[in-house]
Amino acid sequence: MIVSRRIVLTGPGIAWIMLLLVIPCALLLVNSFFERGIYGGIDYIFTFENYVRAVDPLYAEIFWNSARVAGITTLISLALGYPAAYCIALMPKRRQMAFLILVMLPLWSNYLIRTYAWIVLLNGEGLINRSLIGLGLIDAPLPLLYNDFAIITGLTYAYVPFMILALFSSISKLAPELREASTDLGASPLMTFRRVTLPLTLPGIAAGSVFVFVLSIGNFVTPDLLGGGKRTMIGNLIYDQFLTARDWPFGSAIAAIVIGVMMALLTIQAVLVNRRDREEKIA
Amino acid sequence: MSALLEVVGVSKSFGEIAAVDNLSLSVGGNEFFALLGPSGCGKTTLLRMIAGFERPDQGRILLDGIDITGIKANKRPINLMFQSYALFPHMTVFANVAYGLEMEGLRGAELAKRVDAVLELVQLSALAKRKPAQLSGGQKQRVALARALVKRPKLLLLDEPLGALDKKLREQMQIELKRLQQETGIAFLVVTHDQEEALTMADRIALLRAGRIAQLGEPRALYERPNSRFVADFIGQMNFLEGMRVAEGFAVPGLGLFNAANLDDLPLGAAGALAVRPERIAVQDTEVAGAIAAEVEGLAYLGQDLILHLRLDGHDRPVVARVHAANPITMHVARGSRLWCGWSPANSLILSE
Ligand SMILES: Nc1ncnc2c1ncn2[C@@H]1O[C@H](COP(=O)(O)OP(=O)(O)OP(=O)(O)O)[C@@H](O)[C@H]1O
Ligand SMILES: [Mg+2]
Repeated sequence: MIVSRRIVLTGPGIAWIMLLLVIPCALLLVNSFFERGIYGGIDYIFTFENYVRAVDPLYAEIFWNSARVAGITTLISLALGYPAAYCIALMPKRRQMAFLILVMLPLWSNYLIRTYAWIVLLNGEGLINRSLIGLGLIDAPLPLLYNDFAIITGLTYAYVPFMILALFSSISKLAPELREASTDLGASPLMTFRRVTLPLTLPGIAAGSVFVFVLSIGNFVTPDLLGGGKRTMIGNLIYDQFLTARDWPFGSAIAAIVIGVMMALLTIQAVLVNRRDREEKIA
Repeated sequence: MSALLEVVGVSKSFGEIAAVDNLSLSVGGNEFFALLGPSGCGKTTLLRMIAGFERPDQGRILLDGIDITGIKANKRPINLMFQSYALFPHMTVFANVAYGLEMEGLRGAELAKRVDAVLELVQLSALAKRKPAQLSGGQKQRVALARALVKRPKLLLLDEPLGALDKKLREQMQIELKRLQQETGIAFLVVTHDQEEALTMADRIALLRAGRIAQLGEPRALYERPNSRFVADFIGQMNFLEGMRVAEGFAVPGLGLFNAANLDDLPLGAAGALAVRPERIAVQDTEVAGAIAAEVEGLAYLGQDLILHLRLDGHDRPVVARVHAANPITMHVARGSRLWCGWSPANSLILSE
């Protein structure tokens, strides 16, 4: 009885995930072990060649560069997101909602449009450079666009809301008495943050960081538009393999590696959070 | 006894609500002082101002004669034991207790020695390596106490320290707290809304009402000489017989004239109530001269005592009497029984407000 109800309730969800997530990923994985056809199709001959190619220094460098850009994006998002989330968590409940909506508001507009907006802001004739020149702070425009700076700026802008939301949920769960107890025992505000607030919000930091990192490392639109196509990230590489080079098996192999890394990160994070929750659940 | 803590004319409002209203009190150096009062009367707010988490709108707080009103919470030699205990969930019992000492710069063997000594004092040595989630309510309460005591504060504030415990454990911990206070010589300022708890533990009690002190004094004084109906009613149980001061005594309509311990304090013509504690009413099953006849309307058996709801002849409000189980009338009294009751004037008070 209960079992059948469970199937009825979870069935559609599971079917949905199977159809849109598991099957495509499985196909991708399968494809990554075949050879590329001469005219861009797939020759169904089993091979490890795609994976061997993927670890070639040329591609390894792209991996590394992507991880670096995603890593810096994550750190900046954390540095910007933590104070923001902290402030929102300390607000009275009514105001919290308004600020959380403001944080999420950009997510409801089109990603491409938001990214183009950054081109307008960052280019040589853009708002930022013109303002700085107008103020007499610089003589020549700064190279703000079509470099790592632009990519990291765009990615940070796009994903910092996820960081804030993850941190907010973690910080707002923290009982204010814990900070007060720390103060009462003689800790300075900085010490209270280091010894109490920070360790207890580590799960939120981990969740937010994994989110931002995973989303950033797979992104190909922002590197394309704001990096000017000069800087290839792993997302661009996969995109190119599928649509330009038409080497589906190789593209699949790289994608499989990226998915593997993402899943490993998410799993580690989930396991850590679970273990912590078990240890520290407030009885 | 020289005053350790002095609260002088302190007020604090939240918007429209005056949580604490021009309140003054002082606590002695080795005193067990209880703040008692109904929910929302400002007990926690007062404690938080003394601890330094809330700034008074008005008034001053002195510790050892020094004004600490403007000093930050982390710089006051006062510790607060939180109602929720507020133990750090990511630290062991040992680390929780050690935290406050680390903030004083203590390290290594000296730190371990002091922590161990306090854990010994609260009988938690065996659990030093556990995390708070692995402790029972009573054990958490003792960790919170140890964490505050280890700092050797001049004054320890405790906000409903026993609120989360069941009755049996509460009674045990009341004695424990009293013992710890005497052994450490630290002044305790304990918030409670349980009058029995305050009576059991405290050297002095301040009963609060709507941010003000209703009465301050030793437990006995509050119980035996309440200054108002509110105090009389809050501390223990009290019967009130409405009446008026006349030339010959205190007249209660339908019952006659009474004398009382404080009869002479009340001006002629003033209205008030004659207040008698249930256990001070003497009850007999034979008629005696001067006793008031009554009928038993209901009874409740409490083991060591029997509670009788009596309707006095000629009076319309029921009166409660508490009879000790050793009294022979408890053997055969039942609903509808006729009894005779009375009390000595020394055991009754007239309360006009
Ligand atoms: N931070 C606050 N903001 C607004 N009002 C508050 C705040 N803290 C307390 N109050 C109000 O001040 C009054 C006194 O509150 P307080 O917590 O001191 O009462 P209490 O005596 O400790 O009550 P309880 O026995 O229920 O703990 C209450 O009316 C309460 O609603
Ligand atoms: Mg309170």
